[in-house]
Amino acid sequence: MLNHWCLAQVESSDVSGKVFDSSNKSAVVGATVLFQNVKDSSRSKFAITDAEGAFMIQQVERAFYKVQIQSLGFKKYSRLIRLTGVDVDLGVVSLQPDSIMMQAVEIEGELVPVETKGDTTVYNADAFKVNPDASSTDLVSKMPGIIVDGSGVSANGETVEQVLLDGKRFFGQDPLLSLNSIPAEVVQKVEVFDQQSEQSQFTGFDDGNTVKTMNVVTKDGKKNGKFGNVYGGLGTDDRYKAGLTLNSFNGDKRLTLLGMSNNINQQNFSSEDLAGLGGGRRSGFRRGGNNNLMIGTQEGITQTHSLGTNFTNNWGKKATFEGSYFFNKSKNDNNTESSRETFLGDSTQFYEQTQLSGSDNTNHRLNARLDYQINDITRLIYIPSFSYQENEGLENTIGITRDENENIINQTVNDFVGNTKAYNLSNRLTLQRKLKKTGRSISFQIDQQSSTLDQSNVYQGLVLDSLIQYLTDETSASISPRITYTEPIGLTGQLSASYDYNIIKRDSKKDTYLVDPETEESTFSNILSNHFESDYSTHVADVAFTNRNMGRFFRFSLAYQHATLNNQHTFPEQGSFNSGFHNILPSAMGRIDFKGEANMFIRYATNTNEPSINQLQNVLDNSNPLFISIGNPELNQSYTHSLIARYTKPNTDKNRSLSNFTRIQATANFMTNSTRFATQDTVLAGGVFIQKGTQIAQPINLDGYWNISNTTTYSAAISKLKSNLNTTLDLRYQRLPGMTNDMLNIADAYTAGVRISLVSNISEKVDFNVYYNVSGNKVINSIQSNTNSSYLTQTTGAKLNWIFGKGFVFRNDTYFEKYNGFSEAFNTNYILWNMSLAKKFLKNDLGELEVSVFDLLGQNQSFTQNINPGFVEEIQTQVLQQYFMLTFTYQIRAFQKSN
Amino acid sequence: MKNVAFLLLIPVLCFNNVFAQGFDPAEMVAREKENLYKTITDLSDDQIMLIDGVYEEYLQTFTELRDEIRKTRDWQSFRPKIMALQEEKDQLMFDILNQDQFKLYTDQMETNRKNRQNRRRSAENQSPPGS
Repeated sequence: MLNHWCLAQVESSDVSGKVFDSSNKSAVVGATVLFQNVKDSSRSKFAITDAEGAFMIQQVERAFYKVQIQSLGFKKYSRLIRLTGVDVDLGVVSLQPDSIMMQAVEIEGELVPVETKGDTTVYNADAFKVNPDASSTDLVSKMPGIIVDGSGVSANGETVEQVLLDGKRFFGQDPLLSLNSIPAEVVQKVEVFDQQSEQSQFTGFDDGNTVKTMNVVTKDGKKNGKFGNVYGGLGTDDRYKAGLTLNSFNGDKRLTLLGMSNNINQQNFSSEDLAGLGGGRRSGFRRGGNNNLMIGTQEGITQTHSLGTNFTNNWGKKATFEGSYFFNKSKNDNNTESSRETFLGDSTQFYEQTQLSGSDNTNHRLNARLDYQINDITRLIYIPSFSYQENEGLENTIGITRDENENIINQTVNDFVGNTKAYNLSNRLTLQRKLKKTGRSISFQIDQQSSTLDQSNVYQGLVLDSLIQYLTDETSASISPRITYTEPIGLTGQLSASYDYNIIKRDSKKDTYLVDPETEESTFSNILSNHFESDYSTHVADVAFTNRNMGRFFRFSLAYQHATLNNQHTFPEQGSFNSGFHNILPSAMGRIDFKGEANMFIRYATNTNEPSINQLQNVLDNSNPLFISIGNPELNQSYTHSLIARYTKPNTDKNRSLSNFTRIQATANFMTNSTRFATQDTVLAGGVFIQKGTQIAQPINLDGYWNISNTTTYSAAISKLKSNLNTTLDLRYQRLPGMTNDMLNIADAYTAGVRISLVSNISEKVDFNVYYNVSGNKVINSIQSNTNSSYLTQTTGAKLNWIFGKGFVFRNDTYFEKYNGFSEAFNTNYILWNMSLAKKFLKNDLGELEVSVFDLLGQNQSFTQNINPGFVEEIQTQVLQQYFMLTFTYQIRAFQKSN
Repeated sequence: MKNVAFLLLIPVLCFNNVFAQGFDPAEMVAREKENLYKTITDLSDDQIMLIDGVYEEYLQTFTELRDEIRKTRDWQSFRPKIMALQEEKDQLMFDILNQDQFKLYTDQMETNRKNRQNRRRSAENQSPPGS
């Protein structure tokens, strides 16, 4: 009687459904839907939800199934269903976001500090104890693998390019500004991942264009209300500081206001506002693709005034708006001493320089983003960006070049005054549309960018009594339309094809006048003036195949690029230099999930870079008389292969985690410098005088550039000490080719560094961070292999924040550095000791009065190093000296209960 | 005709006799499930959970049917309803068990059926004719 069931095995059915986010009813893209056959797990089936959250599994045989639906950031959905050979529509399955209500439940025991969920590393904030007034910067600094310094934030060796707040942009792409504006108290967790492009998010398939992102997730009880702080302080030596940070969150509507003014080098934002154009610094240093000025926060003493606002909100049900405006005005004074060792092959030159400089910089920056869901299948995104900068600078330079026997070869004493105005405008418009078949889509994107730069610089040489005025007028305009089509292949694959056209038109007019110091009569200098135009256009056609499967993902793409570089020299002579390039640009990437939450991500990509107009324009730039440069209109684009591999293995049971990040870059036609040294004093046509030993650099293309780095981070919780031990091992190798006096020179630079830190997790009242860092660097120049240069830096630091008694706070920050440099003159060691004692008062300890001292021992110093093919350089800069300060701070905390 | 009528009475008398002798469906279901778990030893946790649910539903429906028949005294309809219930249980078990497991299940059901048949014959022999 029961045997007729055997015939029923051939029955099968199709199952479909949609997966939505229960909190906001949006489709969950890329969720894994698993139908586990209870009879035989090998006959299970699965699907991945598409851009509409829909899935379809065909020919599912008759049986009971355990349906499991998982997606990053959501609780797992599980249900048993029975399929009897009839097609089934499961309808809408709602996934609950993965959040924990911390208010009503007190969790005992250790919280897992680090977890890996797919390609995201999640740091749970409560696993890292910080003092009540800490910012998110202080919080993430404790997280293993994350380093915060003046130039920005990095996670396991990769630079974090943007910080989101609950998934939304916050102050554009300025990680430092974002983290400093968010108090640690409101943070539930920090997620580090590669944010996919708009196209990837739309189609559900990664196209390889990602941005390293840190997403700060706020606690449930802290998503509504007002919070921030206001402070003011006065100190000795005319030092002061004042500021305001106010966040007003009301559901989707979020407003942040910032204000700051101080003369103690506190900037709280990254370098893009200050070093984007080089300001008044002479243009000689901008040649050769190695800009020594892009060094993060300004050195010396800076007085800063800044204002900023960030606003996000949903407009109706279909649109979201994000926008920010930032203004800053800063005044910087600096005194630097540098020592440069240049290798000529048969001899060595030593250049020493003392420079006094000052600059005034004003910057406006506006960013916005409008995301409009026109209907279920059409989406429009508009991203405008505008910046305007004014800079006035003054430099007084004394420089001497000596040979190995300490004989003077040349010298300079000069003043340089610069005045720059520049603006940059860009717009991006993206239109995406889903077509009838699930997974099929088409999108259009157009990028526009335009910028201008006006410079008026004056050079006065005090040794040769010369006066030169440099006037520069540069404009750049580009437009780039792109079209992309995607087609689903099977249940897990996607084929995409795209075409991209880009054209950049650049124009540079440099007019130089020689001015008689006595009569002030100006004579136009043909040899130092130049009008130059450069057009660079590319056509790129790309085809890619992507496949997602359980526990692994891969993508292969192949692109063909046809590029043309047309350079026109219109003054003083006429000439044209045209080049065409044909390139094949393959790329591949994949991710594999291993057992025990470990995963590996690998990406290989190729790309080209075109030379800048300053590198192309063949005009003599003698604004720095001992370091002259000239452009090369025959410079070609470079071609780079890059490979990155990232391995992450957390052990949540034992509160440990291991990660390794490797990057390998190799560049053909690398843009570097060919440097010649004048063998005697020379006067060029037009009255340009060149001293003996003067360096004349011109950019050229050379093969053989390599850059290899490997960073390993290991962290473990030490229960007995209630602390986390974080260790980082950093290994780097760089091969820099160059030419010196027509001889090939390869600079091999090796770096090895170890950092060990013990970060407390005892309580909010006791918070310490003890670390030791040692970094060794060695440079070997092939042109003079018997003279290799090395420097060693050892730093030991101890930070303590101790709350005791009735609202007393003791803060101590001690930093010891021992530096052994290229030259013995720079060998030094010093202690930077900062300390303060504060008393909290007012209700809930929201007020605080603090007495602090900066550099108690008066030993503060600063060193930087530059490594280039053919020379190594050490620079010591002016730093803030000892001062005492009295500061009042009030914490604003007015949270509303969530609905 | 008398013999036919007598024959028709036998299953009814049997069922009636079963109910009159204090038959406990819960015990029957528990025993059947226990024997099943002893016979099929490689069930997964999900299968066990589903089987427990199937037998719980089966027991509840069987009990309701028995109570209904007691009220209506419509013994004629009891057997086809029980047969339909059994069929439905078998369908569910087919969807839960793999081929080998289902073979063991069907063998056990066949054994149970033969045992019931033997008990019925034994009851028939004991009942006086025409009563």
